[in-house]
Amino acid sequence: MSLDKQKELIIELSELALKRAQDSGCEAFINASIGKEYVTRFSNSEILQNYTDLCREIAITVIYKDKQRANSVTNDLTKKGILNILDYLISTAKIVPPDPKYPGLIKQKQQYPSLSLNDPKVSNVGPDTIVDKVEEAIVAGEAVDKRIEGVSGNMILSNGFCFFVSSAGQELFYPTTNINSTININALEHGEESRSNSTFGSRILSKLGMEKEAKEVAERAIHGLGAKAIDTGEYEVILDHQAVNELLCCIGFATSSRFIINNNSFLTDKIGQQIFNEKLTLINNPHNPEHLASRPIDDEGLATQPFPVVENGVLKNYSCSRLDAARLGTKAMGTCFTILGQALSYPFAGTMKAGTYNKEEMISETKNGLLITNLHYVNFVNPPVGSITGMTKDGLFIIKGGEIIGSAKNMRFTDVIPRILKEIEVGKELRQPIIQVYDIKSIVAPIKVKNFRLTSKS
Amino acid sequence: MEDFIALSLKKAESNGVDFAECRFFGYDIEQIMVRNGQIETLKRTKDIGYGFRVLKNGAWGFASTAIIEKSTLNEIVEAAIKEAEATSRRIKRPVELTEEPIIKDKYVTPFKIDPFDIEIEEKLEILKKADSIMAEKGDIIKVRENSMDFVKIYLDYGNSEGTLISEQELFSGCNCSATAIANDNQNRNIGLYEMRGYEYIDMFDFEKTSEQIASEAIILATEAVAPKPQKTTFILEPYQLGLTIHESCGHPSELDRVLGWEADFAGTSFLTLDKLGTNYQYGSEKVNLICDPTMPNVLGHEKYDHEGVKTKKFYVVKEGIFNDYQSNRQTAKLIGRDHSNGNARIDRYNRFPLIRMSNLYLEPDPEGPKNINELIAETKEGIYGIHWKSHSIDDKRLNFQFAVQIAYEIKNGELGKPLKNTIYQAATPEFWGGLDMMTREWKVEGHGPVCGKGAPYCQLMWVSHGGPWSRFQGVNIFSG
Repeated sequence: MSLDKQKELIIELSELALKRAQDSGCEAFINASIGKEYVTRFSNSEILQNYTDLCREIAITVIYKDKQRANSVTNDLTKKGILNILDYLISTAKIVPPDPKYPGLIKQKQQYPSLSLNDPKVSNVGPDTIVDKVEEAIVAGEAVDKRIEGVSGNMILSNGFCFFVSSAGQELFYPTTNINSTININALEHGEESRSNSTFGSRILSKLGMEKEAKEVAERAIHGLGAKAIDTGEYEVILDHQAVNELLCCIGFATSSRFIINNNSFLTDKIGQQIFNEKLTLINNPHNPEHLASRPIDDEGLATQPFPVVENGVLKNYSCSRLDAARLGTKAMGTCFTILGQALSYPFAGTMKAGTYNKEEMISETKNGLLITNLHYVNFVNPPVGSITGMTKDGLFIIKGGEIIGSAKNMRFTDVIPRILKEIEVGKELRQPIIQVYDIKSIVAPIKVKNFRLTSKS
Repeated sequence: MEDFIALSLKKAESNGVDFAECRFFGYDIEQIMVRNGQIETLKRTKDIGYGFRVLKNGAWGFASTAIIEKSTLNEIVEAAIKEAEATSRRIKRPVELTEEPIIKDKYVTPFKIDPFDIEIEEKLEILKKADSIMAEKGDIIKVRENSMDFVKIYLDYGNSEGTLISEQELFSGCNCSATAIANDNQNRNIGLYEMRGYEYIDMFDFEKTSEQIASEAIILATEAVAPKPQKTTFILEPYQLGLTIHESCGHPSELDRVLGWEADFAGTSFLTLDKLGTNYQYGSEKVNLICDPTMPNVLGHEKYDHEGVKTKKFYVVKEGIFNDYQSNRQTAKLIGRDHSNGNARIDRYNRFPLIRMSNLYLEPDPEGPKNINELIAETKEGIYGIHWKSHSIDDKRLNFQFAVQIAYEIKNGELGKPLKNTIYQAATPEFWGGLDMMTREWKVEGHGPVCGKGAPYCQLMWVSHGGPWSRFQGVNIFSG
């Protein structure tokens, strides 16, 4: 079934669902997405899996008397399937106790921004185009040095549309393209392995720089050969873009209303306070066409909007669902999305304010320190105090006398986020790495951290 | 579904494929959560579709759709073939599969009561009662959460070799969580799952569990102290032991990781191919780690994996020596095995099967102390750690650092003061090398659909782990 036919079907079924809800004395809102995806995964310079998916999903929330609600997600887009779901939701919404804080259906007219979020040219691509892209990465990576052992990674190209409609008359349809990739390259010398990694994306397929990224990653992997063991302790470190993205992801979760409401965040009750160094500014900027996470609307039907998360080190805003905003006495600003199947408010279009130094200047001004290109398995240890742990991965380099003199074996760090970001310098080169497991994209700059605690060896 | 599968396979075979498989996969989920007396979540999810995978020119191709209509069949089969043809441009060696017995079977995991037949009101009543038990503890409990999840999974699988399987799984899960704030802000929670029906709600016992969780949250926030940094004897109960097994044995023994196929996300493994069959010392001779999805009622129970291979019990580690990998048909063939170990699984119809854990546990010691009380009595000094709080492990699964929710000092064979923010950090072989005593009592516990693996889409798999209460020597402990 073509995307256009599926679009017609979604609209027809949505109208049917809204009517069924209204006929039963309820209100409803619906989120739907339909698309075609090409996904590939490669390892050791060969493709492991390559697939096409015709994907679709519809999420329906039914609200009764403004305070009672139930919701459902399904991909069963038959009339019978939708009506079965509606009957369940209507009967359930009517029996659940009212939540006095729930703000009900959005009644105010929303001003959805007009954003260009798709690449019209990708509607005609096929598996060969994707394999061509993978080839670009493999050929470019392997050409860097004979010690390159293999090029691994993945790529996803998703093209389709999103649709929102509510019984209050809100309606929005928009096309969207999502292309992102990971390249991971290993080099081998005397039986010792060195890996490097990059995550990146584009909305326009022709701008996806597989070749450029693969070359950079391969060069880093070569430089990583001959890694030496280093001691635990406090180091002056430069966190490159991917490592910064991991760190900011922890701040993002800590500003999410779910964590605030649950008293499970080091940022609870800290709005307006100086938490980090004044050089750190992070805004949520969902209207930037260059941002891969830009969107006009969130899952609750609110128009997205830019807002500061951290401004000059001062915590400015949480990201709240409408219900959590009512509980916290604040305003929801269109940040409610689904991550790994769970609704979560998050400053999804995070954008750092660039600093003044380029990375080379940061390195040249470091007498004795480390360059950390990537962090792995970063988790909170004790969320209410902001302590986290994780490993360095795919590139840890030793800096002496303002120069990178070699690489180091991976280390574990355990530290508290406000302490890590107490004394920092911010770089000026912005890039947009992706945390694929959560599909979190952020525009970030490198950060130089005065004291970073490495707590155990690998 | 049988007609649909047969038609799709016939279509693929007429296009000259070497192998084809059609996999219908779907689930129904109900999630209900009561938070601080209010219904936070009341959600139904229904997801179903089919994926078609072919081998052509030595390469895999896969296509999928949620539109289960015969009109989509040609498009999907053709798309899978096109994918295989494109993939074959970039392979180093043709894909080969182990030969497996042809199976025709239908299987439903055992359960007594279908939770989807039970009224919402009854479920809400149980959760609200648990909430009120926590609330009775007073204002010190700031956040109360009680929830139940029910998941029904459908698999209909057929391949061009003649295997045709219909498998239906049903599991139920219960969660209690309390956050207390006094001298400190501390959370205590427990979430357990079993491959059972609604009868598991009674077995879990929300009233007893919510009382225990709230009481322990108060202990953590009021009287527990942080442990001093030390190297000591450390005892783990079956749940946290299970998490440790999952991260330090389960993932590194997945053969796709070992072959570098997960390098772009999760990482590789220290259990490299040269360690197989060479008496590699994974842990002390007391360490017997067993993968056994055939065990009924545990969350990782499965009769057939998602490549249509009958699952089996096997040792990953036997008497401290690394014994075998978890494998699928392709990876088993690559290392010269005759058969797959039956570990291929997916979490959604539109995902490529990966090697996944199912039910992996530590075998108890038939000559060990009977239970945790006797084990503590045998321990002069140490720490007893309970339940997961935080975890992190490196990309080769060697350096891990896990935190437990609550711990207790052990002094002269008795439990002492409660401990909070307790972290243990170790290197995998050294940690398992320190295992010196286990109880005879043991249990396997379901960790829920929480194990993430795969890229660019992460697949979440339901797993169970456990074993006896186990004692480890010389473990680094600190607080954080």
